[in-house]
Amino acid sequence: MRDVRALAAKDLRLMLHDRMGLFFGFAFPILYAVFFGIISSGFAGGGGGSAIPIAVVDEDGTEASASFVADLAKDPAVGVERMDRDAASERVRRGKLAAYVVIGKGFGDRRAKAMMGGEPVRFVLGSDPARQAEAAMLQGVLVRAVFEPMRAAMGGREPVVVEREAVQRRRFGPNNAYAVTFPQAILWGIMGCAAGFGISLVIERTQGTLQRLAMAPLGRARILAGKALACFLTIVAVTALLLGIAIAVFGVRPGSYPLLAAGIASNAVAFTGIMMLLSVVGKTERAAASIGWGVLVLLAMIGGGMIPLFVMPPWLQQIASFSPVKWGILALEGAIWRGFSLEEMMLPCGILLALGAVCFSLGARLFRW
Amino acid sequence: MLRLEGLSKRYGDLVAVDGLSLEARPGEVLGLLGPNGAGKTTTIRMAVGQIAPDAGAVDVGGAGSPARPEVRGKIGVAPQELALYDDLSAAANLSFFGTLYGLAGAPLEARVAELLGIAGLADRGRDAVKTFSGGMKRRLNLAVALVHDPPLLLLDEPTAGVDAQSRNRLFEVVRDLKARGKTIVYTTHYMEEAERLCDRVAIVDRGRLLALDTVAALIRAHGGRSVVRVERPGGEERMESADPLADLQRVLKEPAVRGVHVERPDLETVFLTLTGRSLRDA
Repeated sequence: MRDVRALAAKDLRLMLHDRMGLFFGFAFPILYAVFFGIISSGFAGGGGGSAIPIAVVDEDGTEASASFVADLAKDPAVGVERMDRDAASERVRRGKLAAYVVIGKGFGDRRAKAMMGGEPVRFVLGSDPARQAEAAMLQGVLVRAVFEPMRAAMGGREPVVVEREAVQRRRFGPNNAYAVTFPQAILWGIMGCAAGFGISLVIERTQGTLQRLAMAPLGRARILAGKALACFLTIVAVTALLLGIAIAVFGVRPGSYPLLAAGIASNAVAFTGIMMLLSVVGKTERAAASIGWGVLVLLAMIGGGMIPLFVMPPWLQQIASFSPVKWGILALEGAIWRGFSLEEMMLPCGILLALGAVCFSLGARLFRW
Repeated sequence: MLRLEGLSKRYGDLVAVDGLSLEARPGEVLGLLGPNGAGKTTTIRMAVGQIAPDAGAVDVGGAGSPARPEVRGKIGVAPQELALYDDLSAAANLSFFGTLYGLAGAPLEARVAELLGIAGLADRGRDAVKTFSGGMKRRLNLAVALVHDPPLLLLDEPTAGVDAQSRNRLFEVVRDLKARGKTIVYTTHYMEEAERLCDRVAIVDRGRLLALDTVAALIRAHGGRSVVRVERPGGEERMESADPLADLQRVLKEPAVRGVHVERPDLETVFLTLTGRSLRDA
């Protein structure tokens, strides 16, 4: 076992000299997690979403329309600016505002009669085509504002009450956006480790050190075991470091540390196996790096490593099951914020462990000395 | 100490080694002399168990095949391609490979220090190998082969691409190892090295063993006669001589002789005789 430890220690020392490897293993995942954590703050809860910026064009100019605009401005879902129609249209066109609302002439009369079954109140809503979701939300805000007087007449009682229940969040939901982005980022760090060690095996072959190792009095299985041990330990260290930063700096609160350890170990086993497979895909360092990273980026793309799985269409979510990145993220999220039980963790962890065993066996069998 | 019997290795249509048999006796320096592509490196790789022969057998010191890890522990190999970790220091390289051969603790540290001295790198032990010259790397490459003090050393073109100073240092190391009773198989395509260092020389070409004996015996058997060239005012006379010293004394008594050159046969002549080609041109 001492020889395996020596082989692993050698690889760890070499890794510390590999600036590119350190960047993809440590720096890039942190940048990834922080960048996407900042821009997605709010969707995961806790961060407080920002108001939709809109312009209101009051062409009615009545007391009723002014009252409506005042009610609208009180709604925290929107940020209201008053301006004429041309200015509003221009600002939406330039992307400064999400939409503009035109309150046409006769708004006051129509609003009063609408309560009694008269003609409906009409608005013109001009919106940025790229921000349709916000426009749809704005329609709801407008309807609510129109009926504000009726709600006031009912003593402030809401005519309709909808209770929202975020099933996952009630117990273990992500306490902030970083709880969602860090598992994704960690998978990038893990992929960086797998690619780095896979390529290092190719480098050892081309520079002759692998042949020298093969001449030493240790079996070839032990040489590969040394490389695997170094890869496993590096993945664990990278994951632990990134999680430490997520907890200490970004306030991520894992739901279960024992399950998180299981998720980390499963990921390390899976991607150590994948490392072995990556080492046989190219004869030269350049070929191995190109093909290896190409495959990993594809797996990340379909596995939720770039955009969260829940944003993907259903058919793509089905395909994602073929990517280890999906199970890797799920194993981490399950322990961090999904509130998985031990039984629920068995699926992603079991898949990762099986995948690691299969990939390592296949890679070791195909490996060219 | 090392016995090769009927070794053959083929890569597709190319026959790299063709029924090669030889034995390196304990304590001798056995040269494998041949041009590039003669099959020397393939022979070394089979001798250390790195590749399996298509036919034939290898025995190391009566312990059997080097396919077994414990048998490989008796061999030290300095491969032709420098096989070092460039980002690690010289001491770290030696220490790492020493660990693989079972060394640890104080004995390992002492051995690393000793080998750095042997390689002339005592003051550069903590420097990364990537900062070394070609000659320094070549010396370290040899030192790694010695880390476990093996009884059998296989040195594959150990002076390839080094300067005269490093080459002389490597020669000193080889002579010292021989003096300490090591058995050394030394492959080279430089006949001067074979003549200077080797007790016996095996001449190989196209994977086959053409001759094996001491340098003197090879020259006697395959080198032909010496040539005495005599320069006179009317031109140069060239004559083969069985006793060049006697012929030299006779010629020098002639009054009109301007100069005399004696060309003794060497391993180059032997190779030419055996293959019909020059060693340098092959």
